[in-house]
Amino acid sequence: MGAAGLAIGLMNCQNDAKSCRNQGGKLPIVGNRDITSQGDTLYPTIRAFTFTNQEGKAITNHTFQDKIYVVDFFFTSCPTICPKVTAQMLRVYERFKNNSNLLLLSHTIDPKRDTPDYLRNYAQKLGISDAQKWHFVTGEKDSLYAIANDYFSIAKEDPNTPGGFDHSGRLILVDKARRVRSFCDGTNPQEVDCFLRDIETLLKEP
Amino acid sequence: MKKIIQKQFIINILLFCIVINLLCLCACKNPQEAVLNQLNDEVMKLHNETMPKMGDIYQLKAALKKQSETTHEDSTHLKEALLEAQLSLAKADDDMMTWMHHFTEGKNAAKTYEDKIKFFKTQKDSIQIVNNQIYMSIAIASKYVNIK
Repeated sequence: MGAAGLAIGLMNCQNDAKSCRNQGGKLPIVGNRDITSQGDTLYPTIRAFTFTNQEGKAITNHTFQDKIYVVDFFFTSCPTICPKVTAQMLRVYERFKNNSNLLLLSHTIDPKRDTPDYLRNYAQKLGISDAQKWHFVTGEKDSLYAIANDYFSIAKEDPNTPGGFDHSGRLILVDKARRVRSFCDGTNPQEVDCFLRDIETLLKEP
Repeated sequence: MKKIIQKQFIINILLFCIVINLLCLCACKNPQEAVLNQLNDEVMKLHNETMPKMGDIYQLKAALKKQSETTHEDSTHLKEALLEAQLSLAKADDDMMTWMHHFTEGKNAAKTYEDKIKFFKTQKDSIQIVNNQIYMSIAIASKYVNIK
């Protein structure tokens, strides 16, 4: 009975893995690439940025130097999908909180209300006391939207999909060279299962 | 012996009454919850209709700003119109964010059933006004720029 249960469990695990976009090999670099006249391949990268985190400290792309990181967009008064996405970000946090090579970066899209103080309270309510691990950032609205546009225009499955990024609920995995390597629907726990595997895979890259 | 049986009978009757009362309470509560859920869904449906357009608003605003910067200084009417279109989009954006903030706070603040009914009905009207502003601002901006 126990062996049968284990066998079924293993079969389920195999089925879950099979349904993932990436099958455990090297993660692809997401986005349209350009070939220069010299024949070099250029991959889309995330622009340089400066935001302010829940501790009131400046957070830039240098904060993530030599780290991989997971990105999402939210706002504290979001009535619909943000709580579901944040619950999945918490899963990422719990799984990798002791791994110093991975950081989390959550951007508010409501900087008018989500001040650093407000973000600190929000983080504390989630049980996040380590602001070095999970940055909740705010900034100029145009800058926040511009960087969201960078992430989501790269991590777009279907260019004809209607709807703006505010409602996408997407989690995005970025490598040390600021390239998008994986993404998933942050409202879908099964997709996040695969995403967690992708994080493990990327962490093994030199 | 007879007294013990009588006592047991009374206890059983009392237990039966308690169970019936509990069932009634549940039955009364569920229709109220169903009404509130339906009202919430109706409000959210209206909200979800325009929330995905917030990305379009950002792109239109950026496109209008770019066009304004490249428009000749002498074209004052056009420059004013482009600025007005940007302000209209900014208002639509701010209206939606403000509505969501009030909605989330108000939803938690309403305690009684009557208060909740009143709250959802008011919110249904106010999100409709926000939606109208969003549609109007996008229509105005789309006269000058195209993001597709």
